[in-house]
Amino acid sequence: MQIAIVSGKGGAGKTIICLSLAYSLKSDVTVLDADVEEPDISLLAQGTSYEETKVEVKVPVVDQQKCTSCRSCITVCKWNALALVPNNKVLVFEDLCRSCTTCWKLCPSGAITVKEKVIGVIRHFTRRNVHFKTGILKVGEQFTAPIIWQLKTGLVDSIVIIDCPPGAGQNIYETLHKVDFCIIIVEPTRFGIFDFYRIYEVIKQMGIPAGIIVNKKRGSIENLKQELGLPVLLEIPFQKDYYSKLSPVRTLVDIDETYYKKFRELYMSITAKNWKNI
Amino acid sequence: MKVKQITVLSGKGGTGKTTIACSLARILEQCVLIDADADCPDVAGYMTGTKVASVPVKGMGLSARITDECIGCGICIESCQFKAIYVDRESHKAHIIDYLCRGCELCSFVCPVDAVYIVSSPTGEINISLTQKGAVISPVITQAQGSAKIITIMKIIGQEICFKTGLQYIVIDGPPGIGCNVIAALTGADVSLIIIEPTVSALFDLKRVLSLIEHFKISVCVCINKSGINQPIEQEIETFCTETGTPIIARIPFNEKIIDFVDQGNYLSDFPDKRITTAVFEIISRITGSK
Amino acid sequence: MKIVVTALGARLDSRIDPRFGRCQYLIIYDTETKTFESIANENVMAGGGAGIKTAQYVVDKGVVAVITGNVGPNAYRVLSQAGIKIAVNADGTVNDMINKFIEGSLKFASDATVSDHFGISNK
Repeated sequence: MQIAIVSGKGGAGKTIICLSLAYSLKSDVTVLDADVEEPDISLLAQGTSYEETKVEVKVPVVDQQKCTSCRSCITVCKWNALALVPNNKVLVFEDLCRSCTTCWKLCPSGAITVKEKVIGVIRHFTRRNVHFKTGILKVGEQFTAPIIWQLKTGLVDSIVIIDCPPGAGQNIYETLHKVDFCIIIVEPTRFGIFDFYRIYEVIKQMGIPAGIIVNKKRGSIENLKQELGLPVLLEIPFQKDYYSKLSPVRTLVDIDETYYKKFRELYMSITAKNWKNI
Repeated sequence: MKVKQITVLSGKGGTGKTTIACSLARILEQCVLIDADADCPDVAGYMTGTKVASVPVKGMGLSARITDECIGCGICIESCQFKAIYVDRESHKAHIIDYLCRGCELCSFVCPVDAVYIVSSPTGEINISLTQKGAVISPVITQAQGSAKIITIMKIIGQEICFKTGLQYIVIDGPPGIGCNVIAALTGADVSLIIIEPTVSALFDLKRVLSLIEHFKISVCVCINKSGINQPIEQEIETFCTETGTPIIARIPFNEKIIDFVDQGNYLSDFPDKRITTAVFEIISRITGSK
Repeated sequence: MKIVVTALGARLDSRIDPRFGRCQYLIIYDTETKTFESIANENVMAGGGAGIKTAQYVVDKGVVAVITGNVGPNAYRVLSQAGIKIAVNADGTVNDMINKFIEGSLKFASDATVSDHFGISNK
């Protein structure tokens, strides 16, 4: 079972809730940190011992001797990552390259080969009986999909919980591909609700069943629950002292033990019901 | 006459970028506010104004499509680097997963029976509104692929508006993270204002966004929002900023009532607590004064 | 020989556009025939790599020098690898710069003058 924790709005509480859920389930669980631009789980759960593997992508290398200046590569590159100057010299701009391999496959004279470029790393570690795989993008790199693909391959545990990036951008699609259920964290504020509708559109487009956790709840949200249009699985009240109590690396189950049961029941409600695609 | 561009970033989401960027735009009078959080654009619903123009943005991206001519050879699936093609179990023909396709067209080149064609993705839109004191430019995107490009175009429109009307400031409400949308929002800025909150994640994320900003050699300053929620972390932030020579130009104290105040459509700069409004005005005077 | 000047308009009396990759117009001037060509730059709205695309265009046109305000590192790499001279900090009108070029009073840059993405910036 792959469960993704999304929110639309940043700062809604995805990471804390993801960890709280994982620690409540305790065995046969893998957590993936797919927020590779700002990988907070590597901070909040990692500690000092982990295994690290590199994530590499292919970028083109051009042999000037074999190049005939036919320009096929320049014509097909959608990202303007290649330029031709006199003397059959093709310049490669690795930062712009998206590793589609089209130039390599199409070069009629075999002048293009590929080399590997590191765009980030994946760290593996186990904490509190939970297996973690966190993706960390190298600062300055822009192509995140290969890290997310690598996170999602070779998964062994039967329960996989994915801490997703905020927003509803391209990397959300790669992250949610083949996910069984989405938990949408909704912060019941003006921006939290606007952003909920954005991520809801994406999840609908992808046909994934979903439910809501309302986080930082203040006052009554009965009207809001009607409007949201998805079942609310759990409500977590706002408490100002949580800011300091959760710091530096605690989760909800660490500051209030009743959350162990609440999250286990939440998980049971996800697996028990026959959810229709929304 | 030089237009000054201020890009508001955070690294970590939810620190208060949009709330603060909108207040800055209100105070600055005569400024263009650009919502560069293209995937979750909250500004238009918050800043009151009159929409005066809508600019369609064509060709936000390309997508492949497969016809019935497909013979199920699987060459396209092997070639695709974005895992955007699969075989339908019943028809044994290949299908494109639209939301994963990056439009590189490799499948169309390698298909032995010419069963692939390429379409342009649906257009997005840029809306321009006039407020009491300036303009707001916000995106409506229909396909995630085009978001960095729409940010770039919004900035060019913003520059044109300033050039033709004499407005002097562009405030950009940036997205969270450090990816291509952040880079699109950041480049060309005269100064980047980072909104941080006193949490361990925000400090961790700050370090990453700072190294991105350094790469582009843009001036940077920090505002600590929700000041007071966690003294030890706030102290760590102060120490880090001192060590790296990053100026902290304002501290906005945490106040639970701000949430409802903003939810009702009000601006931080009008909040009935001098400690809050003074901090917001302080940001303006530090940014406009020192440059 | 052909030189290119980046401009805000299509005429010889148009003001210089300080950007290269996303300039409004490219004015290609032939110093021998004393004729010119104005091209509206297609790359103004390019998603990414505008500097590279504009530089490629200019290389293909066979110019020997580029006169502009600033050149980013990607465009600089293309132009310098193609052996094209780059004069930066241009000001005034296209005519002013052409005259300076002919007089020989322009200085040519030895390194990229701005960090990437400058063209998404102020005039």
